[in-house]
Amino acid sequence: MLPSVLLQVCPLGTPLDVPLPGAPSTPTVPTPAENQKQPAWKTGLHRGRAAVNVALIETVRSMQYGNRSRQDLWDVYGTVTCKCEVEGVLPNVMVTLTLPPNGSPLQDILVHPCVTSLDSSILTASSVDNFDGSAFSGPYKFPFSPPLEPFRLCSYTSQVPVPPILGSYQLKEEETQLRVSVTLKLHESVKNSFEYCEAHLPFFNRDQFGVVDVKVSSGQLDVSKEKNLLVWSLGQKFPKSREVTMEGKISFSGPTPGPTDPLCTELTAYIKLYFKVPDMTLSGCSVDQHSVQVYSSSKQRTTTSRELQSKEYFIWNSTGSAPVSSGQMML
Amino acid sequence: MSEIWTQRILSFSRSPSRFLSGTTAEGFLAELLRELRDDRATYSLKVLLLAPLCESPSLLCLSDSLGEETALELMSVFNQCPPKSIQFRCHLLLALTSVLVCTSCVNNRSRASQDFLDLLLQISQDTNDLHGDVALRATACDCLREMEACSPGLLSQRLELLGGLRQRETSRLHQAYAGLHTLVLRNAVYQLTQETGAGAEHLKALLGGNTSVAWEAELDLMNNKDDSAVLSSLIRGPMGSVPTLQTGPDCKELRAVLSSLLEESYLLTPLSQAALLHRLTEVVAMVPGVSPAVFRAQLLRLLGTSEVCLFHSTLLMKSAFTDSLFSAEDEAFLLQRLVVLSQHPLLSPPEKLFYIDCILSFPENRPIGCGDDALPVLLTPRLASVLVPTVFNDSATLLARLHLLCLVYLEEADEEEEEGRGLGYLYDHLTSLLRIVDNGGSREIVVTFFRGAFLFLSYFFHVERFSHSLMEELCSLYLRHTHLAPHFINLADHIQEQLSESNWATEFLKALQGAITDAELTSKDLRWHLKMLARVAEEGEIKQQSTVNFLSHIITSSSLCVKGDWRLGNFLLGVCRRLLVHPGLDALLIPLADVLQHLACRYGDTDIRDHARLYYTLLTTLSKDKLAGVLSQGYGEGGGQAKKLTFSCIVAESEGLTSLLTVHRAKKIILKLVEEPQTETCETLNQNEDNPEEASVALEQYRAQFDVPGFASEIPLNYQLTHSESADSCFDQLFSIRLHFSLTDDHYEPLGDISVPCVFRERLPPSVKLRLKPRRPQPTSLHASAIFTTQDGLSWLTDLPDVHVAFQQTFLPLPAPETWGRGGRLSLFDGLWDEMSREEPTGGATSLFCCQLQEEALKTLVEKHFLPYLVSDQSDKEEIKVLFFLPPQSHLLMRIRSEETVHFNVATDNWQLLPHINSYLLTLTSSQEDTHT
Repeated sequence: MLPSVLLQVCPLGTPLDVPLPGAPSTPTVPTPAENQKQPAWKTGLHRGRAAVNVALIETVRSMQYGNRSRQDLWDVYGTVTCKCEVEGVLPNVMVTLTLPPNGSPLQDILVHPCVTSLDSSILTASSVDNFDGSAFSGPYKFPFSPPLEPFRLCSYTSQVPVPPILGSYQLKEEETQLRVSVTLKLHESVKNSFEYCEAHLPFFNRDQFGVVDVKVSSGQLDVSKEKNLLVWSLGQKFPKSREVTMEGKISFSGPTPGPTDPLCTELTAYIKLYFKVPDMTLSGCSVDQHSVQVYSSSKQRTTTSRELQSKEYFIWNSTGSAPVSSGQMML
Repeated sequence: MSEIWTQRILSFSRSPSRFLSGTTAEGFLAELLRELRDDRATYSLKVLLLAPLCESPSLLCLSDSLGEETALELMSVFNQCPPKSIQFRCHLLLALTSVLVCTSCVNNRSRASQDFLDLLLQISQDTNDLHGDVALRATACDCLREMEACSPGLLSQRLELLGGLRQRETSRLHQAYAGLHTLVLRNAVYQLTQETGAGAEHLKALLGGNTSVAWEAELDLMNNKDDSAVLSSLIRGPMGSVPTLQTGPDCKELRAVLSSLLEESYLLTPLSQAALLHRLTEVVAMVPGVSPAVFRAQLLRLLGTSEVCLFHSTLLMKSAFTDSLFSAEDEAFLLQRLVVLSQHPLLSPPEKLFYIDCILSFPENRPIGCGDDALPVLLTPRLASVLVPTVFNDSATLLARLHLLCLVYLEEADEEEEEGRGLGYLYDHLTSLLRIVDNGGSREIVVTFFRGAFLFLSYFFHVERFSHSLMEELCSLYLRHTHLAPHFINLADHIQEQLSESNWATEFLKALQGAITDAELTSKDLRWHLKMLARVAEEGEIKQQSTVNFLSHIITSSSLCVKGDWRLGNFLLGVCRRLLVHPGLDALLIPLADVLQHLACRYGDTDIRDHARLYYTLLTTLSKDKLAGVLSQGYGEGGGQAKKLTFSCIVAESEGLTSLLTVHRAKKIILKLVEEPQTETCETLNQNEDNPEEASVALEQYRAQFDVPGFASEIPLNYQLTHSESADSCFDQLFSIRLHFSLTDDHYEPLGDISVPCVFRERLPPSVKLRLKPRRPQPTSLHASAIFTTQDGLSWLTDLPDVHVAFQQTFLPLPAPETWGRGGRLSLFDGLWDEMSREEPTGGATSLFCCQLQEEALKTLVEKHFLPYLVSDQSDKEEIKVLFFLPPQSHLLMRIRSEETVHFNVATDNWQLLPHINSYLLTLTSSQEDTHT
């Protein structure tokens, strides 16, 4: 077994750059009968019904300081992942991304090497360039010949005018306890239907929680005394007002010291938000099911999906000093 | 059989040289080839048998001619092999390639290598073979590529054939053919550039497969030249030059080949695409007749991808072709794209670091300066601002970004009078890192901070506003975290080394001195303070009064002296020692003498008192120059002389300790082991004889002794350890020698190390007793090495000549019970003899060795060689009985009778000893007269 594997991957000691034949779970035949050359990155051929699955995931990051001297920051990036089961040695597929009429252009587009050609206008918009309103804003066409396995067709970044959830976080030291006050507002443009939404409030460099007397206007609060962590689960929906609050006092009188962190000392503290919203994107970008074209004889089944998720979504305590997260806001 | 082979191949793979020490390379190779031809062996075993030839052909084929023969042999195996055993045939091709490449048969264009090339080309063309032809063709293609890579230009004549193969191939194999084709093309074009007078005609002939053109005769030229150029990349940036081939504008054929390759490049995996583009870039760079515009159609596709290697190949193209392929706008776009990629949220940190590095060495169309620290002109502070470091970056990214931004703002600071806000930001960033360190950041963040501080200072030490306040921040950080002292010292050292024009480091150390001497003292900080002050005292420009005051204060006002901590004492002395050589010593004389005297009288540790007294004496009795002379020796270029070590190593901490702590490797052989001259004391036999009468009883008693573990299992060998002739005089006196022995086979148990106190050239050599414990009585040789110390305190490692243990050295006299006299030994001899010469298969064997020998000669021989092993009485002339005992439990018995010829009747219980005893007797008697067995 080993010699035959070695023979294929590094016959003379230098690894070859060829995927091993036989993609899992797909019916494949090794050699094509046609005259078309088989791509070296394609490990076999698909036989059977054509199916195309395109998933668009947007991720939002944010740093909110609630402080006049510091501009809040947020950015959005999206990835389009495809799984294509299409017959033929080198089948052609086209996926088109579209933006709403006044959407801001997609920037920093990176594509998979299987994309056959690119329009130069697609690559021009860049996040590091001066924002140019007249820039190309779609539709973004990606013609490609798919490999057998799922792959990331393209990724982009986008500049959206507002963050999906705007928060404010205030801590006040009061003798033996800490007064906590939090407000979270869901922006009206965001669909009020979450898969999940949680806010984590960790407290570092203090003794463990003693008495936690905190009220929330909506959702449910879990207190983890060992980790000095408050977990505020907001569930699937914000209330009608699209605003939730948390008020209360915490004393740190536990028997042992809690977790430590060199960054979050004194009143430097943050809330980290975790959420996912199905079937929406902040940039407005979407893949229409009918815009996916497969140039082959049989009719294909196409599924598309999109969702928004958070990552590194921080809301810093506005009464403490918060670390700078990007130089752009200083300059 | 296959089990044994599997084991042998495994042990070969584990350590080929060790394996071959047990046999010979020629023998093993012959066995392998024989087994490969054997029809009974399975093909999976044969694949395994090829492993040694694939992995270490140069160990097995010791000469080129042997390589040639082996290759011919393997090819005939290949020809006889049934087509269906694809695996084996593939491995045979690999083994053949390895053998031919490693024994320079390919370079010499030997017959076997030409035949093999023909075979490979034939396989690659044979698409009709249905038996898994793809695998065989793939391997053949890999072999061709390997041979071309190792011997560039080998396949130049086959360019057209290879191009055709590549174009016809529709399976995934076309990638391998494309790689081969481009490599051969590139080497062939390079070869043409090296020939004077080569031009368009030659290129055309090459591509058309027309080999009749004249340059064929010069084909081998390439091998005579330095191959390094052809093997490495030809793209050397704007300043390097590429060899060129003058063809004029008419290169239709080459252009057609290039565009066909580029058109299909999309079908290759990204890495192969990058390799192909690199080769083709080289080709186009070498042939000015082809415009780089052939690549244009690919550029957008390459720039759009997220693949590092494809982006890199466009940068290579840019470096090679500059504005003949990339306009100014393209350049701006490319740089912008690099900045985007350097901070793209979806890329991994290593990828982003790579892109940052690409910015630093961006191939500009019109570079202004050259050198490492030249940023591209187009990288404006605005554009770079997205790359400012933040505390959320990982260490490597943070430092890379800091470096880049320092370069950006350095230019800005030079140009504008308001030393940009950017610089202020960088400083703020550094202080926020400092806060994290202050709050107990991890070791990683500490190191990152100090590196960052070094980077910042090395660019902006002249901006006093920042460099001064950084100094203050650092001082207060030190007082809060004294255990970081080594980092502070390191920072000062490196700044001093890097920026000789700045006095920042001196100012910094002075500030630290002030901070320490003014600070409230806690005992846990003391050792760090002393370490720091010792470093400060190395600066001649810094006044040391406050340091001496500090020392005098701590030794008089605290319990330091009473406690008498040895380590702290050494730190104290370390400071004093540096003060003794300080240029401002005159002003310190009295207070320093007071400190030393106090230490010498009051300190609780004798060693420290002694040293302090020595320093005190030196200080008070020697003139300043002499004192500096005596003490500065320790600061020399690392050890070598004993004098340098007279002051405790710990006191003089900064001296070349590394050289003392390193084991040096001796270039020549310094020591050797020689056999000690035999001083034979003939055993006096027990007079109070208590002999068993019967042979069987004697045997029983004798054998019972072996029930005690370890009985008579060791062979003591006496050697003398002496200098070898070639040893230098600095090795005349050696100390603490530790001898290490390693076995070359598994006939013996491993030996322990042996220590010898000293070896002096003029004294008697010390004797060394090796106690060998055999598993099988066989001759052997031992590798020996020694670690020792020379007079100057350095440690050395040297190899000794191998110690050879001859067959006769494994003999021991008969370990008979002590109470026995001659009678018992004789009956034992007879008993053993009977057993060995019996018909039944006891493992015994007998043999007869005859030779012509005078009686006198025989007598000398016996006396000289057999005396310790003699069983019969020396006066017994009729029959001499000799018994060699060979641990662990073998015996060799001899009855020597003198008739017309001398008969050596030999009996043994271990037939494998017979060849050895035969050759031993041959050597013994050959000096006499004609011998025959």
